[in-house]
Amino acid sequence: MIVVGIDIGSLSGEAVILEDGEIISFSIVRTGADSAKTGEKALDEALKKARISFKDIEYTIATGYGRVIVPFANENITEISCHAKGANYLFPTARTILDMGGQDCKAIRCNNTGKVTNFAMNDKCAAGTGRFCEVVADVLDVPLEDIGEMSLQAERDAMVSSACAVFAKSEMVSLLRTGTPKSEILSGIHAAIATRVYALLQRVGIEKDFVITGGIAKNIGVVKKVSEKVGLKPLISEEPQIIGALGAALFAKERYNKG
Amino acid sequence: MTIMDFQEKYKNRHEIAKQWKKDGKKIFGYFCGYVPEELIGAAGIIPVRILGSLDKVSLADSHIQSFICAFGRSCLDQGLKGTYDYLDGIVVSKTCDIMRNMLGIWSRNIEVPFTFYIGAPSKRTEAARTCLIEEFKLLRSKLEEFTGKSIDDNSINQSIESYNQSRKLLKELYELRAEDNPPLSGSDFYHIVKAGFVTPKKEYNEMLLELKSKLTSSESSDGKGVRLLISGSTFEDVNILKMIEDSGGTVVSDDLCVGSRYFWDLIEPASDPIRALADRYQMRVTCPCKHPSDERLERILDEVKKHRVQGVISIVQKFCDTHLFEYPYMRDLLQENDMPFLYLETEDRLGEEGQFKTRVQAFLEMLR
Repeated sequence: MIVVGIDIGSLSGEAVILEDGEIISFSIVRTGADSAKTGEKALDEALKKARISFKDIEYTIATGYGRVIVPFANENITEISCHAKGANYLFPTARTILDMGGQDCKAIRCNNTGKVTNFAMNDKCAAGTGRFCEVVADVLDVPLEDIGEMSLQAERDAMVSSACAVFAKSEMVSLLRTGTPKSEILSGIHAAIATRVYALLQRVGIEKDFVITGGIAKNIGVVKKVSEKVGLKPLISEEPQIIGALGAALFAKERYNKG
Repeated sequence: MTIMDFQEKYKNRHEIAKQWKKDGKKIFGYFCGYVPEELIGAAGIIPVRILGSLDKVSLADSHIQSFICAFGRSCLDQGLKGTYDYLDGIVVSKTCDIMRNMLGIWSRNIEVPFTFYIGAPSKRTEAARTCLIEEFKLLRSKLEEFTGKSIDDNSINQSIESYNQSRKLLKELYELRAEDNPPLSGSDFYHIVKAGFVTPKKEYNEMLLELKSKLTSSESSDGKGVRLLISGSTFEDVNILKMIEDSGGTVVSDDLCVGSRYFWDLIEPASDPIRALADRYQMRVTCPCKHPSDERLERILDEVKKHRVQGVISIVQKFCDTHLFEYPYMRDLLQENDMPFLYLETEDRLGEEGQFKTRVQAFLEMLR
């Protein structure tokens, strides 16, 4: 049985294909201005990799910000439920999940079956999101994928008082002007993000095991600061960006089996 | 009589009021649920409640700070735009800081012939009762001065009776929502309550009676929705409730100012009607701006049981201090009683729908 999970985020779209409960293929594409097309693009890519075609799919569940605009999906489920489901599949001991995505940041608690028991979401604020990291990389003129690694070279954290994307941007500019090394600015920014997401996590309470999902889990600098702040070593999968889509695919399998 | 009729009453409230004015009637505006409308009514004046608006705020921002709730900004904005120019007077009772200062800002910038501020105490002591009685007596004599006619006890008692009737009917309608397939949705009910704030009680009571006689028969939901209690501050946009219900929730109970907090307590007749009014307004189900809140929170738990509620959603206006202060107590109480709880911050209107919907949908998924 082949099922698909599609996660349409604000910055990227992912598809995960499961065959009899095993991942056979996945894809990550960038979300353009047309989110509806992102779903198609992600699915096409994943289908190609798996060497199967659209008609082989039995059931599809869409999730993420754009979950309602995936025309070929049978149902939609929120990314909050899907991240818990996906994290539970990879790490059955996971009880607290921090999902840092493109535009949202979520603290999720779940039980041993991966069912959500509580959650908190950031309000209209970009701290701890991919969009914020993009702004940082842009201001410092460092490739996005290098900011994590570069921050680790810092001898100290530059003092960044705000995790607000707007204020942090002007703080970074003045730090650059005073000759502060980029690595220290990055390290300071990551510390500010960690403080912010720690407050979010505290709203739901932290119990191990602790898992980080979403694109920012790939930023080793943020992960380091968050784990220092939380005091727990986070579990992170090889591809943390597809956990939402994986959860959606797992739900698709369940729903299809239920008929 | 349909929900649409109630909706229309509220929607056309300003046009209707202007017609009353042409017919020679006097109209007073009031804020919040702590102003004794009964007394204004007894003076032969039609009281209408001032609520927010979905229009964009454009004039209020130059008079008040950015940390004032959207409701307060919207009310003042409408006043500044002349929406309430038909009012002959405004009565405010001491509730939250925004309301407390609203009368001053309003009368400084908008011409209104009569204003009265009720210095209503927050406590439930005997001294506080005496104070409230004195405030109501003063309002009575100021109203008499304004209209040039005395208000006798008999007309206050008559007015109390028709307001009591409204509250009783609203409570009866509310109780139908305890059923498996409630004949009224949460958003329907919101429309009904809102219409009452701007419709004279005699007419409103007839509308409620007619609706009630029709309801008990057919119109039903599928009974499959997750049963919810909505708590929180006032909000103008009914779409907030509509969105929750469209996502698979059924709002079966509430702890809202535009809802059960308004009609929960009746006025017990007494030989001195002013004392009867003071008894009710002092001891009514509290808004979080009044204390103590234990009784209100206990009532929420009772309603959760009676209406078989599966989850509580708290919808609070950004910057509403009084609700925010009370939030931890409410959360702890619900947690102790294993009642799932979602806190949502909003403004007077739905706004950022995507994030709001994700929270609501995830909460409903959690409860299924």
